[in-house]
Amino acid sequence: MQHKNGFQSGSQNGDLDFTSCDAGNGCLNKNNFAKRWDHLLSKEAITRQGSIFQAMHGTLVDPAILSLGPGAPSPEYFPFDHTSLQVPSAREIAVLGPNYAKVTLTANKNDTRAGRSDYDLSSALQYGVGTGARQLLDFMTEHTKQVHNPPYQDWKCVITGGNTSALDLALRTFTDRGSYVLADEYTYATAFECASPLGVKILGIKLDEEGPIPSELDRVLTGWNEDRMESKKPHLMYMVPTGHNPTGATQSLERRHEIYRLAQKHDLYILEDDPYYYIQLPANVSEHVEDVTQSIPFSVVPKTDLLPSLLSIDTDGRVFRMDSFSKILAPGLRTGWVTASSQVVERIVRAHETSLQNPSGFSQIVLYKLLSETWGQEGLMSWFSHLQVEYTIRRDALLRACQRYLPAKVASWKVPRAGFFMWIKINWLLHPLARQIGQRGVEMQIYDTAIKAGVLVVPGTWFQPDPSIALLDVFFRITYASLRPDIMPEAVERFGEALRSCFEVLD
Amino acid sequence: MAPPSAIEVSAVTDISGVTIPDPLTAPVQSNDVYGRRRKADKSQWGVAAPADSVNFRHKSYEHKPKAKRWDHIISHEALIRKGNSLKKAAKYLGKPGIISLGGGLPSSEYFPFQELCLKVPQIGHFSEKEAQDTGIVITAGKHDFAQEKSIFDIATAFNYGQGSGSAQLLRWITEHTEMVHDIPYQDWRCTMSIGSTSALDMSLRMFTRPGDMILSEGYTFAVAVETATPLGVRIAGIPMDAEGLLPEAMDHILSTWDVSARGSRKPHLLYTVPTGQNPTGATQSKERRLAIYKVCQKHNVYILEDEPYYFLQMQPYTGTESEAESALQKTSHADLLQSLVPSLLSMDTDGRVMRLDSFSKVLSPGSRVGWVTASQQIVTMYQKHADVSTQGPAGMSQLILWKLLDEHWGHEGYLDWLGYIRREYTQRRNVILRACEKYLPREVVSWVAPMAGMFHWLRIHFRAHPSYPTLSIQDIEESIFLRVIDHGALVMRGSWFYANDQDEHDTLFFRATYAAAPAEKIEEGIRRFGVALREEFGIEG
Repeated sequence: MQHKNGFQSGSQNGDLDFTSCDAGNGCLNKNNFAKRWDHLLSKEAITRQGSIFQAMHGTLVDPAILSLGPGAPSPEYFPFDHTSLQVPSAREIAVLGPNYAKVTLTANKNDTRAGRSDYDLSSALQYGVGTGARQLLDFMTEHTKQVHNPPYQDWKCVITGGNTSALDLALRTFTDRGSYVLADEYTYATAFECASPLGVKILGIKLDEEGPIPSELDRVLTGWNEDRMESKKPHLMYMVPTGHNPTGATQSLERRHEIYRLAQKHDLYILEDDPYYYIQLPANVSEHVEDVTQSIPFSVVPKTDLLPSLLSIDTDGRVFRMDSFSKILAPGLRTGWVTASSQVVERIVRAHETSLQNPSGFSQIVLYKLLSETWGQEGLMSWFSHLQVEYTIRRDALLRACQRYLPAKVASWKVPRAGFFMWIKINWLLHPLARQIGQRGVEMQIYDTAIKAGVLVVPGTWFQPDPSIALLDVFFRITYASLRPDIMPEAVERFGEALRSCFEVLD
Repeated sequence: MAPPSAIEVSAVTDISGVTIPDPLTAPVQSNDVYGRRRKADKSQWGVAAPADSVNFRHKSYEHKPKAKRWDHIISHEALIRKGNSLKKAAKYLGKPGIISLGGGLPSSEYFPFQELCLKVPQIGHFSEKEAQDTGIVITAGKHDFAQEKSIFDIATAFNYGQGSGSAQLLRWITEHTEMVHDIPYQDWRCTMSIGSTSALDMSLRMFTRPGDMILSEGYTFAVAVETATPLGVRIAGIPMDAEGLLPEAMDHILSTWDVSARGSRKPHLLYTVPTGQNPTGATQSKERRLAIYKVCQKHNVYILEDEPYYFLQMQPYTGTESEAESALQKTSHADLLQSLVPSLLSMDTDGRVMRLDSFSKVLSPGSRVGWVTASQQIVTMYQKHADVSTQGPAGMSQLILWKLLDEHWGHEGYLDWLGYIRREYTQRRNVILRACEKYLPREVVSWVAPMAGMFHWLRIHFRAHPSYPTLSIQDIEESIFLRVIDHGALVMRGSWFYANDQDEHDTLFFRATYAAAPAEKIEEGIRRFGVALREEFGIEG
């Protein structure tokens, strides 16, 4: 049975048809619709049919029909009367920063029937739909409109099980075995670990401090030789444009436009994985913690301060944007959202129906209560502002420690403008055995010596999609995300000692 | 592993809120497992700590055979999957004094969640009303672990975790599995799933390649077909009777498999729902299961045992009110466990079963938590796959389930809950059966009382239909379906559950569920179904 006409989904909560571009939100002024991507879809995605049960939902909306149909358990057998969670109140974050006061969110089993809320435990804990809960979806759609305002009409959001899961589904939707996907020459390791079992090969594009170099991207695509590469010209590019993992690079607006133009030229579809988007940090490094707290007020972040996303310049609907709550609220929620054209979102919803279904109902209802019923759109933005202050303090503490403890001749770095990571470049040619042991030998020696010195740093080659390609440099990734700022000097000092001992540097 | 040691209360001092029962009066095989728990290293409960269910088993398996290896049927995708490489650094994190500038886990300081409260029913007072009136509020703080109040808290549960799920909940799940199934091989393991739909998707990717055919019941869970199709996998349906799939028919299909006629190599995978099968409601008897397992051994077929309804096994339906009532008496834990038909897992001497369990039907679907039990080889692959796709279940679900199942109810309370659910479903099943007896025209519809699950499977004698054979079976089915809707009821068409719609079908069924609606609506729904059938078949009411 086919359901080509898009969403006939619905559920216990009533009509779940979702629209992101309702009249009145300004979208109707944009006449252009997304391009169709049929020619890029995988065999799996093309074959995937809608669930046969979707056909009944229209019938179930009729209250006169007594259903002996879908076999969902009765909520009376969910052994949860209510759950509650303490969270910061939005107004307090804006005024007090980290000293915020708390409010308690409570979800009861039958709040909706009692007229207390649009979403309750009996619905959150029931089977859901592949779009994610309508209540949360509405909030994220509105958020996406306010922050990214995609410049085409038929965009939609879908609630996902986090970006790892979304990436897995995106690759299954857009690649067949043997195809190539473009990515950065160093990239998030899980991306290629997810891709390679699918028979997908990753080709790294050379990077500079702003991410993939457009001329390199153009060169690779223009010169693609299907016979030599034994594969069709790539039609998919994966990137982390903001606070890139592992290099910390953030693409400037110009860079984003250049890449987008090349994507148009070569008919590339873009997977924009952007979990660090809201953790954009100031360019200048403060001398003291006080400087940081002065420079960013605890108030709503003006949208203009955030670099435009690729989604926000996406006139063709060729961007599949993955957002995640992992870095901005908590990873254990296992929830994120994807924004793309309705054609592509529909394929993801279908894939959800036969895999993860939807994120945990506990996660969804907590997010809804926190974001929609408590913080609102402005409150969420002020939470981001709070995070920006906090991560700036951490980043600057790590940078100051690096300046102080790392041997300047051997180690160099750029100030990260977003995200969690610093990328330390090692001048490996200064190593006394550079010629004998090569880059890899130097890297391995530093890694081992650092562990002996009592600090764990991550070697750059771990982020190399194709380890057989020799790279020119030696890098290490370090993070300021999880370590307390007061411990950072000790950690970096140990790393500095390890470098000094490897390079026989005397101060 | 050493045999269970004497019960020591000291082994559980890191768990708050659990009352250890007096070992002499403790019910059989329930909370006394707490006393047998091995003391775990504190690092076992930390953020994203690796967990291996082997550490949580109590019985000795040394004398049992090891599982067979399944390399020959594992997909290329699963064979080359490496799992998450960044985790290779994790082993150094146990080194005393080491500081990590490595993994980019966010600090729990920035989780805007302070204290989680949960109101749940007390043991023995399980109804919705009682949960509201006399339920207990349990609390998880953000830093309960650091403050030594509990071994699981918000800071841990809401951070990244392992594909296996948290050690805390995995321990409970492993103990529960060991209590329910007497697994006859050595190297079995458990790992969490994000529900059995996902587990099915992942296991098909693990065991099949495009072009394969797998076996299942002739009528099967529609989502299973919908999951398999995009992977290029087709299903060969096996004929069934009231006890589910027929082993002789399965043997025949496999013995006479014609690769060119079928367009596929001989199947090496069976997908089966042995208990309260969806949609037929059929439950395989112990003898049936043994026979099926034998056929699988003969043809070296691997088994996916999907068991969401395993604990919805009911007392036999007798039809008389008094016997029905007496069947609703509370049973002891030992009797409850004894009354369950043994699982395929418990007969699995070869390690050829991957069992899928889910909390969806017994606690709530929205928690999106289940688990998989199989041999170490298979479970390790599953975990690696989860690490690079679904990851573990949501931390809040894990924390809530652990608080409820381990800290609050314990195994004992959970078995009481399962007993309660079983009584409730027995009552519901009796309601639909009585309504069918009262309202349906027996000359054109017949059924077998379901022994388990949520579904009642109604066979329509389509040959008695006035338009047969002018109209095909599916046309008659549609005509009845629409007429039932006209009369204000919804039942599911049997053809929606065809394992393979290319096969010839000479049966006509409808599926009705008694899981959700209140008794009076079930009764009224069946009455309307009866009216529609009478009209359709031209029977005087």
